[in-house]
Amino acid sequence: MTGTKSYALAEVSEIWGFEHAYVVHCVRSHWVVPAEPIEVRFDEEDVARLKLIRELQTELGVNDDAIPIILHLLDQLNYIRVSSEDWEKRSA
Amino acid sequence: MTILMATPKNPYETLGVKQSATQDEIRNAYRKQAKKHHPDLNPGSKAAEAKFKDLAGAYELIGTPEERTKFDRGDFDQAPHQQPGGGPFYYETQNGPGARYSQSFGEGVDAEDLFESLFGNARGGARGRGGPRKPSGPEKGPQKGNDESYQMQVDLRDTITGVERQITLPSGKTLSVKIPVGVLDGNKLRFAGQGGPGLSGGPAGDVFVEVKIKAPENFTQKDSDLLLEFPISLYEAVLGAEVKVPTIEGSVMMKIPPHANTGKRLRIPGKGVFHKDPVSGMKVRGDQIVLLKIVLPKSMDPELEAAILKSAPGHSYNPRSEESESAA
Repeated sequence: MTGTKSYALAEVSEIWGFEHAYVVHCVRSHWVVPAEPIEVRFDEEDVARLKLIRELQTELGVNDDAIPIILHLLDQLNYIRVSSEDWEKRSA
Repeated sequence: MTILMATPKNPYETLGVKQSATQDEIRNAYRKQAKKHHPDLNPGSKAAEAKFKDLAGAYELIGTPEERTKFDRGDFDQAPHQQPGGGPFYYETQNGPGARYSQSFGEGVDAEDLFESLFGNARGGARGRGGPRKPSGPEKGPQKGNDESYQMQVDLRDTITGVERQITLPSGKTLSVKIPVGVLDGNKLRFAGQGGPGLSGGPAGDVFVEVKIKAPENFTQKDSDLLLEFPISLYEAVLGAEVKVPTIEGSVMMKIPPHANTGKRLRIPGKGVFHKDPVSGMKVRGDQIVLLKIVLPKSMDPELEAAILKSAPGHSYNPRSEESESAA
């Protein structure tokens, strides 16, 4: 997602209503790796991932232990989905 | 959740619970169906997305005792509810080759081969491959965690002597980084097992720190040489002198030959930057180039001025002519 807008931690908290500690927890748990890791700035992918994790935890009752497993499976699903669409186009 | 509430329907029906259901029953019903219809688990399915929005809208109405009481007495906000910020679902950000998270999963996996082996025969060898099917895709057992890459700015002096630094990663983890003598700009230092955690018992990923070397103030790096502009007096320029010149490792004595001019370059061997010798492959240091610059005194000495006045007639020269340039 190069070239997209990026946001500082304070902006992410303000715009999307994430608690500061929640975002830090997600980064420290390696669930979210900021698009710009040294400056700690987040892009659209990071924000969508933060929102997904919040939904999983607060609305669907998923605990911390299950989060990395679900994220991994979703990334696997998305990779295969995009790759298969690409493969189908080229095979048609 | 970034959800617009759908056209008001009976939320009890939407969630499949009786009106007399307890809050726990409502929450469990919502969670059960939301997990089934979540758009990120059904990427691209408009039906799942619509159903999920219905569920979320219904749960907004009766998910808490307060909201439920309002709904039951007909006092509820029918305006679409939206949480702050908005933005796409996660799967919608993972659609292209630039998607960092899902594409990092694909590192080392040849998707072309994988799909060819899974579906190639079923499509009658669409890409012209016949023969037996390859075994289906690789099984995913324990997997190594994600590698992480960072940059670190290092003072040039530290690459000459070597140094140890503590750095704190965004994750809060502290790493002790030993900058080895002779490290080159762009070199990557690897810290095995310090990256993202592994999955299913797999090892943690690695951290890579790329070294970016910064020249000290007053020095300019040109390839493996370091350039230093060095002021000298008129007397030193005319008569020659032995002067103390700073290098990145302290001062050294250097001889200025008589009749030196501004722009003259003097070389101090081996005081530059490490580079890889293309012939031997060894790491060797470049040189320091001292660029002389004649500086007149801030206040003119009357005796000097008088001497110049006395000698100027008949001894004038044009520093802008080719002859004077070649004389330097």
